Amino acid sequence: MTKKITLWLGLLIGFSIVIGACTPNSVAPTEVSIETQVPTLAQTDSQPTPVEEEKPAPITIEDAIGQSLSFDQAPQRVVQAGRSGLMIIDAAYAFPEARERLIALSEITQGKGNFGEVIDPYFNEKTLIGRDTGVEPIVAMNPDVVIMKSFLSADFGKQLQDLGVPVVYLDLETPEQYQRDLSTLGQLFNNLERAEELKQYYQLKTELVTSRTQDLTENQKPKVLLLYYSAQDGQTALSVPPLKWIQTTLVQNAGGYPIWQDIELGNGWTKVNFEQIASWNPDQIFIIAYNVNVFEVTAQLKEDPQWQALRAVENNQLFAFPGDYYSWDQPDTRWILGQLWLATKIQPDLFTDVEIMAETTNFFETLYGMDEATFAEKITPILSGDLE
Amino acid sequence: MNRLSRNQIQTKAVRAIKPASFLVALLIMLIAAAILSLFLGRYPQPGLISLNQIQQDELAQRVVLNLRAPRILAAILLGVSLGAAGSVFQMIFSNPLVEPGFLGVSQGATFGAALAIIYLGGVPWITQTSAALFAFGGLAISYYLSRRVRFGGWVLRLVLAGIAVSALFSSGVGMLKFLADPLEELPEITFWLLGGLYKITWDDLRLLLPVVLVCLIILFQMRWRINLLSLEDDVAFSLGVAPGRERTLVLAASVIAAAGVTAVSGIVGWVGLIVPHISRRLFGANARYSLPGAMILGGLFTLLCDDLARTLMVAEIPLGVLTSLFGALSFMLLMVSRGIKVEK
Amino acid sequence: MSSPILTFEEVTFRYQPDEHLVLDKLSLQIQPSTITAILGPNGVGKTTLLHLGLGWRRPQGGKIRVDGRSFQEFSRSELGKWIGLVPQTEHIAYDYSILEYVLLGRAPYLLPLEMPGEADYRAAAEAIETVGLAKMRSRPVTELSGGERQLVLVARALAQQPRLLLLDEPTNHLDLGNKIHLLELLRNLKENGVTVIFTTHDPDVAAVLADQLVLMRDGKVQHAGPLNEQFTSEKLSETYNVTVEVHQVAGRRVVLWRNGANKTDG
Repeated sequence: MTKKITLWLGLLIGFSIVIGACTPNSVAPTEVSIETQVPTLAQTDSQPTPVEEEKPAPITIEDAIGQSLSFDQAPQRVVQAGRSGLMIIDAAYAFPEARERLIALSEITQGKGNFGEVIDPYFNEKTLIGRDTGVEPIVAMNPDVVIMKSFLSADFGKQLQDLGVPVVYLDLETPEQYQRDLSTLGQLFNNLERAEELKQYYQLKTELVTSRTQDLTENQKPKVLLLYYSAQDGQTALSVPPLKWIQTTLVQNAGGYPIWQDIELGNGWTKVNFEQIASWNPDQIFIIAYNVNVFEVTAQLKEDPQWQALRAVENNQLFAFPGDYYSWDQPDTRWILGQLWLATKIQPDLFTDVEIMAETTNFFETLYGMDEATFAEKITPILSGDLE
Repeated sequence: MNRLSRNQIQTKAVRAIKPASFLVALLIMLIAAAILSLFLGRYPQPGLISLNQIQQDELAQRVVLNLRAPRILAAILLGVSLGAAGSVFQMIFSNPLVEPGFLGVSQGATFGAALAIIYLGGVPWITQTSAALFAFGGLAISYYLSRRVRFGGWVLRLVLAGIAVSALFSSGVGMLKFLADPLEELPEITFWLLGGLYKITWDDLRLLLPVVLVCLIILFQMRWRINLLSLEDDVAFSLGVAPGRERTLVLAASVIAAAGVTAVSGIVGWVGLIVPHISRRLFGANARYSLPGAMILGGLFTLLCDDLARTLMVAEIPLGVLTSLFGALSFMLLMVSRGIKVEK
Repeated sequence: MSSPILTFEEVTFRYQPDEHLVLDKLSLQIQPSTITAILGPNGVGKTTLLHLGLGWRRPQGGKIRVDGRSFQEFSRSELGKWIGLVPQTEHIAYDYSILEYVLLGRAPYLLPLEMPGEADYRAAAEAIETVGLAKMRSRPVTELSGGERQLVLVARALAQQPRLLLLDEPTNHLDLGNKIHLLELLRNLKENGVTVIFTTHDPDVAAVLADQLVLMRDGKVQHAGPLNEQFTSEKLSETYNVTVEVHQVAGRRVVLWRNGANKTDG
């Protein structure tokens, strides 16, 4: 009996070693050539017909992690999956092709609904993906390509690539990455002119700000504190962003001195308590909030006697960061509006000619082709923050 | 005195099931469930995929081989390891309320994983290594701490040390959760705390499988001997057992297996606690049958829970949620029912 | 006289280096096929003596010999086949059947990875029969009374088929019926060639059963020898530090004491 068991178990060990030795190879991620698949087995959502006029032309895409993927024609079924998809979605929507080709996307709201509903006539036919959706449902949609953030390349993205699904990675976290990744999106949608248009817009607006602020001396830069207000599990907290994030860059570009850069920061929002804020006693305080009414937050703070002792509050320099569907501080496409607005607040004398409302309508028109009537109807009512 | 055969000695008047046959039956059930699980999923639609479809669709083949197969294997390994480790711990500590992670292993692993998620980028292999390191660290601290405790038998000392070390790591985890970025890192940590196999690839199994298998084989071979290890040291000695050495071997094998699978799956609780109970209900206290029973039942249980976790909804349900739900339910059921009588 | 099966030569023992001596140059000889009772007040070192005789604890000074050999000359499993131990009590956490529990006694005959076989089951069944629990073979041990549990422990030791059986206060928790049953059992064992050593603090039990008596006090053997010679009023009084009288009643020795027996200088 013992011998039989030993033999049987020995077989098991051998089996495991064999498994370890010859695992199926993952599909090489660099050169992928696929045709648009005719959906036979997968259950497809009812799809609008693809853009007819385009004749199939091979394209090459270079993405954020240095992959180079080739397709026989521009992918017709694009899926955005994985966490932190907001910036990818809004950047993709800046390309008109996205309305038809982006067939599934993450559902992201920050308290005011889906922006996609406003600008995308096909939005309701699209599949909304949750943040924890597994790999199989994604594969079942039969995508030509999946786009996601580059930090997912080690696990989620890899699993898809191992199944032979091409994945294009994007970052879209800094102004430089915007320049690079907009090109990637342009390649993806086979609309390089549009990519150039967008890159130029961002370049122009950024330089509008930095050209005027880059020569400022330290004394001319007010001490600025940017705080993110969050209420998690019943606990409220105020946090500062890491130095690498776009929030810090926006302040620096706008001619302010980010006062929190002297402390030890991690990779994410770092909580600070009131004592720390008081010891900094900055000239200006900007409050960011997602998912809650930012006005309520600033109103609350202005009435707090402790906060009233701060210099910024005394001088009426406590501001609510503006936003519409999404707050303008994040690396969503709207960051450029956040940049412009911050410039007018931090260095008002240098930017008297910048009119925020005009810039906003211009933004929505340039990026999403939104006309004035739609803007007044959809955007104006939900604008928040200190926008005057 | 008549020469009675073993069968005659074991025969009861009441109709009963022979435990060995029952074990084999369960094993067959496990294998069948594993094969069936290969066909289950959400591609191309929620439910079962036919063999035909697999043969025709290359993508389906990849899904089955690269996605489902390693995950099914991992789920079975997880259940088998936790069931075995839990069984061994409950026997050796003579306490039906202990579970494999309680000697600082679970909390240590959580701490290591949280640390990796926040400060080391959260890449899977780094997280797993960190979790494994801290799991063993927790165990080592518990062990050395227990040797310095001045009172009580060795069981009490280990239990106390385990509680203290677990509490220490638990507060560390709390601290890390507080420091974590609420948008990205905190949900990742929370998901790890609830356990899930959604990231499993063949690479993960490459190292895990041989290590865990060796440990499980050791435990399986010693399944009768483990009965002796819960006896007092003097009695164990009189029976020719080296209690210190053999207990260390068995505990080490259990913990290595449990910590190894926990490192890849996150904290999947309750399996190690409840499956040994159910196994003892079915097979009796004799570890010769209840240990293999716990292994097979654990594998079956975790496999079924994981099948549900990835198939029931579009989103992944954390595995730990399902194991505690069904674990508690089945336990209640078994407590209330008369159970199955097994030949002793 | 055949060679002794167990000898203690000037054995000294203490648990921790800074603690007091539990056994102080203790010397003792046990002959085979005898029943020896070790008698003495609580805490005098009786259990320690048993543990040393088992080979589980090692003395700091002196020598212990089993059948003329030192413990080092025995392999672990061989020692298990020679000496069996029945502890005072045992906490059993799980509901093993009696048969399964007694089967554990076959461990010395099995390799570490081996499972019990036919022969082992037979030996276990015989042991259960010997202690008189054959009808309850499949009952879970958790359902047994204290006396029955004690018998199970004895059966387990008997399954070892030992030559030397050590029992630690075996009659402590037994009611009268079980006590008598156990004592008769031990006498039968002696007649079958097993050497029995048991500790007790109850002199009456010793009087009934033992051939040889060892009286211990303060870690030393005060007196040792055949029962007839050692079981006297003086010696017992000295050992227990109380005034007792030994009387012969119906062919047996019994211990009596009167009011005021307790000596003030205890």
